[in-house]
Amino acid sequence: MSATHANLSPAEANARQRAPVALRCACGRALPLRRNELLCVCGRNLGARQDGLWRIGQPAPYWGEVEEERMADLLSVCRRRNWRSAAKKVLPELAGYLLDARRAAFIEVLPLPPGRRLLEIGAGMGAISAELARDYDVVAMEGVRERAEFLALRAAQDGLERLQVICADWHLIRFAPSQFDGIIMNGVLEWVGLGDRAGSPRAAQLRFLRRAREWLAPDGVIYLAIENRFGLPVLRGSRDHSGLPFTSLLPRWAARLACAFWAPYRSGANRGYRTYTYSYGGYRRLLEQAELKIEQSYVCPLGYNLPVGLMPLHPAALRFQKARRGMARGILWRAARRRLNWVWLYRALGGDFAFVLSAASPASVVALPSGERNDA
Amino acid sequence: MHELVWRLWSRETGKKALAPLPADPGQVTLACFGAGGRDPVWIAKIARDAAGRQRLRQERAALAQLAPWRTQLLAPGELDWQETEADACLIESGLGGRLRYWRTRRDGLRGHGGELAESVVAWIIKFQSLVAPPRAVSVRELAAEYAAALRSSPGKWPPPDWADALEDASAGSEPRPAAPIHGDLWFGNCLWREGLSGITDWCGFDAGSPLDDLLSFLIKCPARPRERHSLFRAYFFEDCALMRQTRAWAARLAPPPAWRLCFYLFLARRLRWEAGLANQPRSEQERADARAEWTPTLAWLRERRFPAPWS
Repeated sequence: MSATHANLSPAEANARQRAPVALRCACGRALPLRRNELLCVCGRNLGARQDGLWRIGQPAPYWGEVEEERMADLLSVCRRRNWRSAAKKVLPELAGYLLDARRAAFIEVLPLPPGRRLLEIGAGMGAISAELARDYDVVAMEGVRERAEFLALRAAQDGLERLQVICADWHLIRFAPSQFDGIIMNGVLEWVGLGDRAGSPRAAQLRFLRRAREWLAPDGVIYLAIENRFGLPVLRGSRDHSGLPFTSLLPRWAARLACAFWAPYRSGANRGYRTYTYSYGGYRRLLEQAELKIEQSYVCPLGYNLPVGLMPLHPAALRFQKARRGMARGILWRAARRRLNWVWLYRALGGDFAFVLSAASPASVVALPSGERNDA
Repeated sequence: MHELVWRLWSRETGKKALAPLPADPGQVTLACFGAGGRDPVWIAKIARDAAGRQRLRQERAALAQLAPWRTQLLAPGELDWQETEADACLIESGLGGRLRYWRTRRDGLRGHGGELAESVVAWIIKFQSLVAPPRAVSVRELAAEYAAALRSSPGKWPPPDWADALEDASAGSEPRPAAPIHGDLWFGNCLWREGLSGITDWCGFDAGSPLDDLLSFLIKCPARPRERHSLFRAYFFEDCALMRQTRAWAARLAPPPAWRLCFYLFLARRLRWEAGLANQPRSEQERADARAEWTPTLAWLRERRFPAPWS
């Protein structure tokens, strides 16, 4: 990864940045997101831009941090006044989450210099994309229409010209290959099995990762942040993505059984147990299968939604970082902290992981199977 | 990732890691580790606000001045520098070692603590003999400068009579040139590996009193906040083994007639920094914490009409 990064001349990097982001039609043609309509010469209409928002295919069913009615309220207030004051008024409990620039703090360890093109999959309400769009060209993709509309309003009101918002479901959209220098997946991979119900959730996750790899430039990197299946918060009984505690600890069949009797959590689509998380070794195997290589891995001590103080899973770096964390109170606690710098312990019990990934081999462009559509 | 960091990172080959280190708000510090190495190859400091950029410029100037004696003074070297309108980035060579803690007792710094303090005193003597202060001023001129800064404080803290105490101490002393000071010498900036192995964070490099670095190291020793006031008295004012030990160290750095001015000059500099009047902005919370921590000590000194230390 680093060697190809270093070999990319500034002219090549600029040329890539200048070319607009393009979708790939089922006929194989690339359609740049330039005008307000995406009409292919083969006759297919992939989507259109309206109020600064690209709508490609059918949106995903609503789900989110707040109920649908409150989200509708937020949007209507946003259209009348500034999104910041609207967020503080309608969603006071989420205002910090939406406004905190530290949500994108992981960018400091992502080997991408400013000016590169990023894709954020599952951009949500845009805390990360909006922050990154100050230095990068960002394409924010969000499946839920209401959240994408909020993000488009936010981009327009803040004058973020380098932020393009796309409302599309990841398994329906096809970008032209090798056009993103960085792909951000912050708390997305675990939910993938809900939107793509063909086969097991693991198979859906593999498809998702392979597709992301296809969209990645040869020298690009993927940032993947996700929970540890056996992490300390899970062992303490925090709620899993199913809505129940401890389900990630159970064998998958037992978790499915437990979830069969539980009302859907966050959305009607969350039926059965399809939100798989893994241990560190499990992620390594999954990523290897998707032909992705782990360049760096971290534990997020405050969770991946606040990626500050990332702890590198590298023995010397971890020891060095922990030695500079200031003084812990009490001799026993200090002694414990000095000794508790085994990487395996953090791999085993760390709450959330953050991975920096590169393509293990050049991605081959896969032809679209006849059943898959870009114009769903 | 900052462009300069990315350029250096791309040059590293093999299994490498980037560790974010604790840093002030608005600043990012990253340590890069190469394959198999236990020490960082380089450390990147990035500042995005005006005050942070200014501090990085000061650190860079300090590293340039220290460059001829870098190995003797265990200081990092500058590897690269970039400043734009938006940010500044300084890449320094990495220093090995780790932080060490000890417990300070009234019967003197022993074991670890004593050994470490001895090494620090030896280091300060070497530093003052090798390096010239970055500006040619006398200690009296510095006293006038700090007194003016304390008087200009917008709030009621630090107390205004501190400027008078400083001027009073200055009036009775003989004129002496200022010494070079690290400016933020505390155990968090000293790395140890079979002895002192590195001194980091040079953004406070300035001219000051010869006792400044020693006092800073003692006052910021590992201790619980509630112990600090009693330790302060034990270091400088109570007849105990600890006071005799610190007095011996002070005697190696400055003659006894200069101690009073050096001591109040250090306190004034410290209060100026705690109040956010120096080159590092302090948040409301930090200022409140500092005020709570320092108020009993300042009141105690005021009650005794600003006594001379180690007397």
